[in-house]
This record gives sequence, C-alpha cells and structure tokens, in this order.
Amino acid sequence: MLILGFIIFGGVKRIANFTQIVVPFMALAYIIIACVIIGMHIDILPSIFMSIITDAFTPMAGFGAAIGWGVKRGVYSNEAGQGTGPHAAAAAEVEHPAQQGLVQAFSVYIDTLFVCSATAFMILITQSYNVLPEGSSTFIVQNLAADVVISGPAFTQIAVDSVLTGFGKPFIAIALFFFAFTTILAYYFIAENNVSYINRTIKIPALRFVLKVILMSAVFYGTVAQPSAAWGMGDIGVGLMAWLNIIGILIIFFMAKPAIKALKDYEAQQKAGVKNYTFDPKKLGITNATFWEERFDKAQSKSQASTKDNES
Amino acid sequence: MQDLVNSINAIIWSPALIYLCLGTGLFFSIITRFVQVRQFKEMIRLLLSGKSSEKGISSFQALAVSLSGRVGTGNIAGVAAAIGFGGPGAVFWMWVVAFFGAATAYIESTNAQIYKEEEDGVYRGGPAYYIEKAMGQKWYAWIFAISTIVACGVLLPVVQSNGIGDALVNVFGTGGTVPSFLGEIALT
Repeated sequence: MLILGFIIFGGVKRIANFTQIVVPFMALAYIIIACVIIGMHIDILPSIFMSIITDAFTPMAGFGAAIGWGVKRGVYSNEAGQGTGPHAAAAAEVEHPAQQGLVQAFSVYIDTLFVCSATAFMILITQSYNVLPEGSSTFIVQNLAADVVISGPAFTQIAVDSVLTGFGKPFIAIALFFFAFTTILAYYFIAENNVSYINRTIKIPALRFVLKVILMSAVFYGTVAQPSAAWGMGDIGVGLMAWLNIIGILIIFFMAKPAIKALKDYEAQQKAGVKNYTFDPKKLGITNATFWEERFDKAQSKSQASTKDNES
Repeated sequence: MQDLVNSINAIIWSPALIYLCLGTGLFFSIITRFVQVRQFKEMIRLLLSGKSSEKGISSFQALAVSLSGRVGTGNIAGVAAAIGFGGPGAVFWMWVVAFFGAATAYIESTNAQIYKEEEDGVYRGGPAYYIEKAMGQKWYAWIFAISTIVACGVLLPVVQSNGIGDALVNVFGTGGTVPSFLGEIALT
C-alpha cells in the first residue's frame, strides 16, 4: 500500500512507467502457465473448443444466462464501451488520433482473446468448474465441492493446482495481486482525470486528496467484503459508465462522426504512403479540437518558414 | 445494503445493456468496415514505433496503462463467474463482445485523442471531454465525470481488492487472518 501511495502521489508519468514494466511481464507469465496446463491436456482441446461453441447456441444454463454473463463479464474485462480506456488513450502522444484508436482496439484483443481465453481454457480443460444458474440451487455441472465460491478466483486456482500441485493457488494469488494492483492504479488515474475535468470549472483543491483517501478505504473494504457484494458494486460501476458512454458516443456519431472522419483521413494518408501523419481537424470539419488545430497551425508555419529559408 | 445493490443492478444490467453493448459494437464494426480486422497489421506497427514526449506517453505506454486497467480480477475471477453462472457457452459470447467491442474501442479512443487537452504539461481527456466538446452538452459530461469518479474511486477498486483477498484465502485457508493482514497493509 506504501507502493500504491508512492505511485499515486507521483503523478501520471510514474504510473505509466510502473505499469509498463509490470503488466506485459505478468500477463506473459500467466499465458505461459496456461499453455503448459492446456498442453498437458492437449488431446481434449478440440472437444473443449466444440463444447464452448455448441453451448453458446444451446446453452445448458439458458440462452439469457450464457449471453448475459458472457457479455457482462466480457465488458467487465475488456472495457470496450465502458469509457475507461479513452482516459489512457487521451494521454498518448501520437501523430494522428486514429493511431491511438487502433492501439486501443488491439488492447481489447489482448485482454479477451489471450488473457481471458487462457483462464477459460484452463478452467474447462481441467474440469475445474461448477455450473449453477443464478437463483437456482441445483448444479447443472458439478465437478467441485458445492461450497466453492463461483464469483471469485477459486476455479482458476483449482485448475492450475490440478496440474501443478501446490503451485497453482499461490501462483494465481500472486498474479492476481499484480493484475488487480495495476488495475487499481489505472482506476485512480481515470478518477483523477475526471477530477481535473471538474476542476476546470470549479476549483476544489481538496478533491484530489479526498479521492485518494476514499479510494484507499474502498480497497480496504474490498478485502473484507463478500465476493457477491463486491461484484455487485462493481457491476453498478461498469454498467453506469457503459450506459452513459455508449449513449454519448452514439450521439456524437450521429452529430459529427469525428472518429469516422479521422479514420478516412488516416487511411487516405496511408494509401498516399506518407511518412509523417498529420491531422487537420478544420479540413475534416471537426470543431472544438483545439489541441490539434494549434498543433497543425504550428507545423504549417514551421514548414512555411523552412521553405522560405530554402528560397533565400 | 445487498438488496439495494441487487435491485440497482437489475435495472442497470437489464438485457437492454447487454444488447446495447453487442449492438453498438456491431454497428461501429459495419460503419468502420471492420477496422479491427482491416488495420490489424497497422496496430502492430504502431505499437512498435511509439514515441513519448514530455507531455504525453507513447502509444506503447498508453497500451500498457490501459491494458493494466483491462487485465485485472475480471480476467481471472470474472471469467470463472461467467462459466459458473452462464456455462461454457458464455466464453463464446465473451469473444463476440471483444471482437465487436474492438470497433467501439476504436471509436471512443479516437474521440478521446481528437478532443484531448493539455493541462499543466500533461494531456488530459476522456469521455467527459469529448462529450462536452463534440456533443456540446456540458451537463451530460458532468454526469459522466461524477459517475466515473464514484465508479473508479469507490465501486470498482472494491472488486479488485476483493479478488486479491479471496485468492489469498484460498491459499492460506479461511479465517479472519488474511483479510485483516491485508487490511493492516492497507492502513500503513
């Protein structure tokens, strides 16, 4: 928690530096372990894959449950549409806005197609799961003891432990510690960004400090809360943001289509084979993008100055 | 308290939001002519060529930051819950929402870049900024900003630390020691 404090008080750049070192390393370690476990049961991999596909369309838990839980936990994990990813996207230094859109789309892939799939295959291939529809008391599938907590890391820990006895549970606990720790840092970064937004209009200097204290208390509360209560709160958070953000981006799309214009502009430059991409919001009819207007004007006057130099 | 949380969730996470997430992804996929597939090569190229500056972080760093936000308890405990409550088929729907969601992520992140601001030497932006500037509705941006502070400052960290606590309980066995041990770290 001292580390958390140090990083949070150190500002955005330090958050970036810390996570850059930790995240790729731990995600890689996690995927390697998953590959080892899947490799040990490689003969049943095709049948596991088939069971995912068939169960998707004729789900044992009911269609609503399969699609509902898949989408809900999918969005929870990859955050597409939730509106958290754009905060980090805005902080990036790029030549053209579309570039960061592409990088973020890639991040959704890594999250779900690699990391989530790694977890799913580990659990399914080692049969370390139960299926218990919500509100029901009869298991559809029961491989584990009835008291194993579903909305927690237990399935995954048992899955790794079944192959690497005694190693699985602590390994997952450590991996989870790093994953969750950096996620909390990212949450702080996002909340702080919105505090900055509010501070643009009303200056409340204490707001940042209050945020730090509240976040630390929330972290503490989480360690003693029941998993179902914790996830219940988290679901409210994700759902609330997703509603507001998705409606927002849909309205923005119908009003001005800025991201689509940026994409077309980027692809035109790609086709032309330019080395240094430029973004001129005025030319594309995008208003209020003051940062890019200033940058483009500066670059224009610079290049004019240099051509003048060449002429003289 | 738990009842209140459940009833709020029943409203927020009604099937409407499930289909809104899937539908928006599909819609933006079609509108961008599946940018998430067409520009796949470019994504890799960009990741390897990012530059950072004094004011901003490089594309790769921004990816690491957002990835560290994305990869969390959800990837370990969330997937388990999806299987436990929704069956193996839930995994397929996770893939679907990720595939289409990549187009949504393109749209929202590009918006964030277009309308970013420079403040005290760092770049700031996000939905609150693009809602204000592209939609022109300041009140809506404020609602987003306040909801996000509550969500990211209070509601979501609870899930993350709960996952850590739960994983440790599974290692050391149940009992009050682990939560209180973590609690002591939290207080120092």
